[in-house]
Amino acid sequence: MATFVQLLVYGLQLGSIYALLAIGYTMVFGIIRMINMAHGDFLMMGSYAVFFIVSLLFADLMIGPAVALLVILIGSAITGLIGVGVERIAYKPLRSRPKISSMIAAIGVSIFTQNFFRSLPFIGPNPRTFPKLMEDTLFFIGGIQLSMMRLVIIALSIVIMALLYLVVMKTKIGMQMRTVSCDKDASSLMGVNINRVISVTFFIGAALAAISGAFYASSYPILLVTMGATLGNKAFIAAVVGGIGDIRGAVLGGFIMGVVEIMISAVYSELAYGFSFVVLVIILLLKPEGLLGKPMIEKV
Amino acid sequence: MKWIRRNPEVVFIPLLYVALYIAQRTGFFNNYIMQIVMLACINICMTLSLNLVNGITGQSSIGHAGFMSVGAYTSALITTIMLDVSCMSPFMQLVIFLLATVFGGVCAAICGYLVGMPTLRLRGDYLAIVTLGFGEVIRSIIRIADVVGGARGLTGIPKLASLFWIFAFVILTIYACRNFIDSSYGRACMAIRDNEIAADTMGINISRYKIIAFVLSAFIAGVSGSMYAHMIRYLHPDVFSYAKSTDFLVYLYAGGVGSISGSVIGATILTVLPEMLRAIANWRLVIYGILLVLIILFRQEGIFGGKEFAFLKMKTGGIQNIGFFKFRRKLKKSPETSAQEEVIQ
Amino acid sequence: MKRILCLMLTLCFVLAVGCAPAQPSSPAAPAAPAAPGAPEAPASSKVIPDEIKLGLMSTISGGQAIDGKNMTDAITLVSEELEALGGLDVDGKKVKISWVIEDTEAKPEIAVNAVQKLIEQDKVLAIVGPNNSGETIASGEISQAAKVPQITNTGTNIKVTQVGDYIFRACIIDPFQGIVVAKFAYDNLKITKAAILYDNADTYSSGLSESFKNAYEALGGTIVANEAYSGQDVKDFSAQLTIIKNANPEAIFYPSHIENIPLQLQQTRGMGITATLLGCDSWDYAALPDLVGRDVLEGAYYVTGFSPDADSAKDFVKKFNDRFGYRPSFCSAMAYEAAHIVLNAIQRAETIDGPGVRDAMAATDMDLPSGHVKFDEFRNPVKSGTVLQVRDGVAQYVTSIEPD
Repeated sequence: MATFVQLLVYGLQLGSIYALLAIGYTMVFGIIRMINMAHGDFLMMGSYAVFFIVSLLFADLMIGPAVALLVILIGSAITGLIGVGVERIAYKPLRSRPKISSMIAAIGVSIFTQNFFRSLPFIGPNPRTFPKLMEDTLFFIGGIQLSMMRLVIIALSIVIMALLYLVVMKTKIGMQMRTVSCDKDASSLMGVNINRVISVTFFIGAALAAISGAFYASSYPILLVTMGATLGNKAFIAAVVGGIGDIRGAVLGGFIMGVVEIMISAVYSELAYGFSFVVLVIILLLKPEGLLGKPMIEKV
Repeated sequence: MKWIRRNPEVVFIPLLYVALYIAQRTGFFNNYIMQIVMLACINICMTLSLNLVNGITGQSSIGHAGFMSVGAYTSALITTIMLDVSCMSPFMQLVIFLLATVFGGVCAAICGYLVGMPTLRLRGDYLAIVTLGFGEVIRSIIRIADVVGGARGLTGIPKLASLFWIFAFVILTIYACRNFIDSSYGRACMAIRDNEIAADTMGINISRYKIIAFVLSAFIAGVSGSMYAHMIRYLHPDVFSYAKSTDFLVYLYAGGVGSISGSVIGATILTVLPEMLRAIANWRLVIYGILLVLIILFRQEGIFGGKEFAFLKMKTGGIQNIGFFKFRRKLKKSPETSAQEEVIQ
Repeated sequence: MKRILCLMLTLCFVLAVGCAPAQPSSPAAPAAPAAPGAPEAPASSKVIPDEIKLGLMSTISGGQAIDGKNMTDAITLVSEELEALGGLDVDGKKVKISWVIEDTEAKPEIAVNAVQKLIEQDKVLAIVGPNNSGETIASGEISQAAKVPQITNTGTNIKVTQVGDYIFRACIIDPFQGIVVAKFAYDNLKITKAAILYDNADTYSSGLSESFKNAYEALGGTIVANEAYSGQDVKDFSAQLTIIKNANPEAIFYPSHIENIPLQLQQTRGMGITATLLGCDSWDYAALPDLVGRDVLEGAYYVTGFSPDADSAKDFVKKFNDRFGYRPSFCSAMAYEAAHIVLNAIQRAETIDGPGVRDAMAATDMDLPSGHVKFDEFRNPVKSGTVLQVRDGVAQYVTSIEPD
């Protein structure tokens, strides 16, 4: 029993990372309907940005939480701007095409960024240790081991989720995002500046990727240029399982993925990888619109 | 000989093979170039197979390498482990290879049926995830299957897929695809792609045609897998990873989705391109990434989007041109996006 | 009907043209007539070319790009050494050696393309690499058929050299490495309960875990937990480590690629597991203590085929360190040795061609950084396994275990 609870905790901890990833992913995915295969690479860029800021400015200094937060925000702003740039150059011309075209462009961007970073002499293929932004303390409650860092991440993903929910539901830009997601042409006719809305969406999406990158790298402190390669997929799956475009769904999907992965690995580690996909597929078969998605009514 | 003039490919294709063959024998094309030609041929088949599902029927499969691995492993299991063909006469080897290849294709088709059946209610991104999941499940099963080498990979597969068989297979696949698209089945599939509800109202059995396209596509993928196994002679579960499926998607969409010529050209160019970039060593894949983005930006519908070589165009009556323009117009506001937009409302 | 008929006719025609000669033609048709003729004629007088091209295949891009960098650095060092000498001295003539470096992306089919390019396009005399067993097996089939000797630096899987007599390796094989770890744990450390955490998607990792398990159980030890994870992108091992922790082993063996090791070790210690850490040759990476954290790695043992403290290695380690600013990893050291085995064979070869160099390589008998190297009849080097322990953040020599 204690083992079960412990595994559940580990699952939720891993899920919190997936959830944080999926939030940023589902923003872009929900509004532009684009499978952004480069999302994991924005995560990589974000964590490298934080790494370089810290190691250049605060070499070997222990930084406090306030500075750490500031550094993460700067890093995510940089990544957000890169995201907007990438969107302008590579995705915007494809906006009227089927979304799979922009997915191919995103694959191209992903191949480019990974290999470009690897080829740069000051980054290269060697792994780096991510600096400790906050001290991770372990503590026990009734024999169950908990990690402070992971609790912070869980709290943070809920806070970000709430913030984003507020932004999308209560602000003007959020309303514009929702209209764009409903009908691009009609919202354009109603005076919504689509370019601006999509740029803002991409900025938020890439910045969130960078924030999750910083926290991801704090939990798994080894930086590699390929670290984001498969994370984009995991975020994609989490977003779809939770219900496409639904921010709460992305968080739920992330947690479910984490728990499923950990639980199955503990039972039979040899087949765990395949089985976790089976479970996700079964969820989709039982609830094809995703856990929190609304059933679709198709009109002609 | 009027029909030869109408069907120039009857002369053209054997000539192409003869040219390739002579180039190989005289050493004008060395083994390196022949290797790339054969790899390109296999990629063409995989792309055509994907085109049937993604391009013609409008479904999204992003785990096609899974079907390829089923074909590759079952055929290699027969030729390498169950029957040791290396001590047989060349003729018997050939017969067993072809039977094993067909068997590999059939196994893949069965998997296609099993995956296709329950997932018909899903569409778009959901189907994509199921196919992705299928590929990964197969991969994780192969990893622990000791009979085919598990994670250590399967070695010692006899080299039975010669240029001739791979070439013949590509030609057969192109013909099969063209005739499928040209048939009533193909048109039903395209109707489903363009508007599922309208197709349903017109009396098309949607599930049936989706399954047919899916199974045919899986069969071709399985056969390509067998060719791959008997050409590379080494199989490892990670060869058929998600990244491999993505490669085929890239070939398909960069070449031009829905177009046979596009699949052929896309797969060929993108197989050859990374090899041509070997001269720039370390920056090879950097440039490849940039070129990929440029291709998709400057030829948004793919290199051959909405176009076909003359000999691959549909031949039955006047429908050819109408279908052609309809397709182009449809692409501008794609069926997928418009369907999705309707869904959200 | 007409079209079907026409298609059939076409096929028959093509079949008639292509089928019969296509069978024997496939591998190395143009090379075949040259090979038997060449060694006989110039056997007495060795023809020494002015320039010799050698190939290097490595995972320059992809998930194992670190190994690619380690290998290319080692080859850079070799070619700089040769440049300083003015070329390779073959029977008194200075021969210019140039290296052609190709990327395998850690994919077998790309490795096959790369090896074909090296052999057909660049006409290399011999090939060093690739660093993975899978790619070496796939590409080895080609170089075997073309009679081009190939020597992998870290392709440890036993099947690699079974491809044919032109395929060599510079490192110790998986089964032997597993035996060394097992023997060391059971005999020297007196550990009777061990656990394994391995990557079941990876050739190297699963092969090593299996050989360790078999050897350890044969010695009388118990494997209390044998836990797998799938793929290099797995970052969280808490489920597997929980099972391992509950099984309470005295030592844990981590046969994985270097990319995964730091997180595994950090998470092990983070869970409060105090068992002894055992590693394999991939651990031999100079920056590992800093990546993992010195306190985590302190006291860990790993097996490798090369000890940087040995007298024979000091010179190489110093040169490498001065040139690139880091201590050579096992991968670099083996690439360096593989290159020297090839160069030495060229000097001794009776003829400067594939078969001549192969025969000379098989008769290798020379001193290298890892010690004296000779090949057995399966073209595996006869080497002892070296056990190192990390003390104060530096790997230090503990003992050597001889092959039986």
